[in-house]
Amino acid sequence: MTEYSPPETSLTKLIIASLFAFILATVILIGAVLPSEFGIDPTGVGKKMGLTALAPQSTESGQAPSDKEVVDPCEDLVKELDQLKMAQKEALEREKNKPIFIGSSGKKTTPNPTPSIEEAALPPELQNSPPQPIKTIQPTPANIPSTPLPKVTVAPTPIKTSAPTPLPPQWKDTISITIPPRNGLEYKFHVEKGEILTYSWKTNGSPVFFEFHGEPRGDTTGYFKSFKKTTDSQSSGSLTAPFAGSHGWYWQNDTTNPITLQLKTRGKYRVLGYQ
Amino acid sequence: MPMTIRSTIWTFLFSNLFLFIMISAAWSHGVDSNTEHFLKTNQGIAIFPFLYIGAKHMVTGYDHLLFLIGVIFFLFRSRDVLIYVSLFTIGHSLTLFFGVLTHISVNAYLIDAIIGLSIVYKGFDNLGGFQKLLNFQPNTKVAVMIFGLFHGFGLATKLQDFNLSGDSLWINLLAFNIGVEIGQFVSLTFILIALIFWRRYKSYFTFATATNTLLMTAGLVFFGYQLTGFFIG
Repeated sequence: MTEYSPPETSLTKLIIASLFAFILATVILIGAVLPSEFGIDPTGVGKKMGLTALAPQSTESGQAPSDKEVVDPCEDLVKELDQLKMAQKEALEREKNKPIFIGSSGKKTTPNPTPSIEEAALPPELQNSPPQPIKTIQPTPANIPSTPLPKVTVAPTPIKTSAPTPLPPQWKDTISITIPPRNGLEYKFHVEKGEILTYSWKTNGSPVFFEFHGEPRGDTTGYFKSFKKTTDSQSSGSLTAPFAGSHGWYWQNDTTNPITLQLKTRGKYRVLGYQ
Repeated sequence: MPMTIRSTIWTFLFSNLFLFIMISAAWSHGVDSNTEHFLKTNQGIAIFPFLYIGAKHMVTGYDHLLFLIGVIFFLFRSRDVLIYVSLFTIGHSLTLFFGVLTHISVNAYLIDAIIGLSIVYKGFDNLGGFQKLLNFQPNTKVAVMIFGLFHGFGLATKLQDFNLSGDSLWINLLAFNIGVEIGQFVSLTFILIALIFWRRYKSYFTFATATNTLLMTAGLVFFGYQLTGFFIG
């Protein structure tokens, strides 16, 4: 073995080196890696340094987001939507009794302290529309559902057709996204576990392939959970995040022209933007 | 080191610099986060995307890089570097193909934990640990090959997370594997540049123990991290 010549290390040196490696690795693991990645913090050092904030919240209560879970996403979504509907009804009741302010823009939820049901039931696109730079709505079949008819079902997929739940009218963020021809892009939000992201987006008419999905925070395996994957010119609904992490859309423009879409969102989230 | 070998190495190093710059430029355009969607939605043959994904996985995978540092730390002849890296390549290519084609996937955390251990092993080996402790030197070539097999299973497991389409699987898999080799080649280039520079100084040998101790440390941290992930997840 001429090519291989490890240096002569004395036994003491070897033991010291190995012990040192072991102790240092333990300190790094317990002090930094486990608090940051899993929220496991036996010494409390991780919390003091603020590292546990990086960990997925669910693990702090003992449940880790498992990438091996075999839950039917549709089933999950239906359950979530049911819960959401209840929550929204309650919210609407509360709103009727007492006008509240939502949204970072500081706009009132409604000029009328007691909004009528019809008003609240309007498709979100029609309310609080800020100047939209690219809005060329042609009466194509794709956007007929959003014509100003009250109580029209906006959600187009089988999962969500169950009910056009009256949504609180105010959007927190509105963004215009242009997908270049023959290209795809992602727009994401960080949502904590159990928090709700309510959304509505619509293209300038062209259907676009999209996948609404979420990735658990801190995950490096590339795992993601798909909530909805289809081709459509619009989509709206609410997501109750099944885990803390980045949630959002991947849109793919297979046409030769750019597609512009307008995304409106509301809820407790942090905008991560283009990914 | 004779002049001819040295100049061969430098040619080898600089020819890869361009490739590396090109790849880093591609990253800065945020291609990576679309990768998973590509893998999820792709159908049919896509040679260059798979090449790219494979190369990227290798260049950004610090576990692979740490292991390679350990392997070539005491390899001073370019011929030996070539032999050992080829053994590693054969090892991981075998299990990558075998794993994906037979749909065998090992738990990603467990396989990563073993990859962590492979770094610890190599660090300990470089310290002369086995000779000192067991009076026996495990065959280093066989060890590299075996750990190559584990690294390949890791790649296969990750690739299987995305439901790859059946029709063009072979070609895409081959492209991925070639990408892995390109990525390994490129990252190895930079590891070699750093090591060759450092080897010109005495400190390389003075700090050899410290470097391999830190290598063991990094391997242990990675091992503990993945094992915790396995038990929690």
